[in-house]
Amino acid sequence: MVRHRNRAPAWVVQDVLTTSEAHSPTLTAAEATGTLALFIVLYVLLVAAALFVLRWLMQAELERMGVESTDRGSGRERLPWVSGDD
Amino acid sequence: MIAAAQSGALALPGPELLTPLLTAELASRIQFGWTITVHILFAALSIGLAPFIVYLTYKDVTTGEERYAHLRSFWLKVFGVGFVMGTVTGIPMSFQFGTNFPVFSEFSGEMIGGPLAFEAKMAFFLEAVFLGVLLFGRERVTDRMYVLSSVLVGVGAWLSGFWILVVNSWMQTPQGFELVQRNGQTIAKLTDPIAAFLNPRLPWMYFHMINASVIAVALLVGGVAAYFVWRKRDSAAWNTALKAAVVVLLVTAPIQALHGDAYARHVQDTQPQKFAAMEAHYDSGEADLHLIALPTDFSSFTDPRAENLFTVSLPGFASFLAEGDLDAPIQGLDAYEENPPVALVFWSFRFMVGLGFLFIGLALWGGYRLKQGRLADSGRFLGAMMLATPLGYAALLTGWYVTEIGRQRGSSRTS
Repeated sequence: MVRHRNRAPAWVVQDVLTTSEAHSPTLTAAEATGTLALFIVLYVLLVAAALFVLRWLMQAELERMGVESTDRGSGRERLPWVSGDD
Repeated sequence: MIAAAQSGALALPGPELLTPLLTAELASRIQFGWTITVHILFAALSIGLAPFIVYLTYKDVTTGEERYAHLRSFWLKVFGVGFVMGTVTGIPMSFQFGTNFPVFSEFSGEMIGGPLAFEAKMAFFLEAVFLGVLLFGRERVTDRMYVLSSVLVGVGAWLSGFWILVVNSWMQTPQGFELVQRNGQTIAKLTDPIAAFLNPRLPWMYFHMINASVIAVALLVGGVAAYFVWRKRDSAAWNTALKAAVVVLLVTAPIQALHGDAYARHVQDTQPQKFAAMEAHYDSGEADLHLIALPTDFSSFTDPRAENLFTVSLPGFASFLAEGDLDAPIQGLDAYEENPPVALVFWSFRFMVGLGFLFIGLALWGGYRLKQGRLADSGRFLGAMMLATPLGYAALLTGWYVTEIGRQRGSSRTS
């Protein structure tokens, strides 16, 4: 941090943010890479779980609205950007 | 095989292959970037869905029509799941300040701690309490209280975004502090919290983020509605949702473009290096505005310089936008010792702006069909809305990549 002493405070904030000084000096590359991999897997699973729960929650609502009772979207009819009906 | 390995004919993995490809700093940054990328999807969902929830709740209570009740119930569940996911994905981030960026946290803890605490205690709790009323209290509170609860959930979501952006905007245009030595380390001591909180970037960032979230959710609502309208054309609920999404897009998409233009000027004033990276403006001097820029080969993609790109440009127009003069010199990347990854910033910016204009086109198309009273009749329009469902989020994310990856480095040759 010594090199920042003669610099305007606002620039020092940017220096700290954008250089390696911001991160942990004791964290190793292997630890950081492993944690990164863990968080990628963890967050993908979280999002997948959320979508699963959402679909389960929505089912009854969609049935009440009557959109579940049509053939469309069941794979028997092409989506509109394919069929281009207008 | 063993003999072959011993003779060197068969290369077995050695320790060098097990060495991580990333440095600790880069892995820490990517991890934070990844977690905040996922988190912001849910944060933006809360912010953008809040006005829809208020509208649907108000209409449900005042008209008693079934279509509003169905839509309120449907989108409230989406909001609830988004709220839970926003919390679950957001909590690790506060710890990551400490685990990934402890030096920065120590340096700026006085500034960052306050707004994050305000966010939790003022905004998050408000949102959580009244979301409970919305989800479970329809039969337990009066109509007026129910509508008020939806407004307070919205206020909570927007306040939450405010406090987070207080921190982020300070990280872009810091003020209201002085550097002091504490335990042998330089830290930012907060001397004027109001000035620090209400720093020059905050109003720009807050408006742009709120509006971007509303656009992203309008496209989500519109895309889902278009899908169900396509499945059942006479669905009163989903036709209503589609109309609401188109009207919201008609208002918000053009405003975002106009606001974005003014915001870019503010960035040029306060973070000229970021602005230069957004335009891949390497040499200081008059700057052209590239309306369209396409890479001609892979190297021009990774190193976007005007001479290597296919561009449709307005000569001197970036100078005009920034300074009001076609010949005004704009500081280029050559003024800095170290620059952000220009390609990521340049292409992210172009992607975001291009999508912004696409949204305006989609809104005008929808508005035209709405005026004709044939919004649900066009398979092409419904298909376009469906395809555009995730694009608001794509624009929001690439906008944040410009903000964060293009962050101004302090090492100007002239500072």
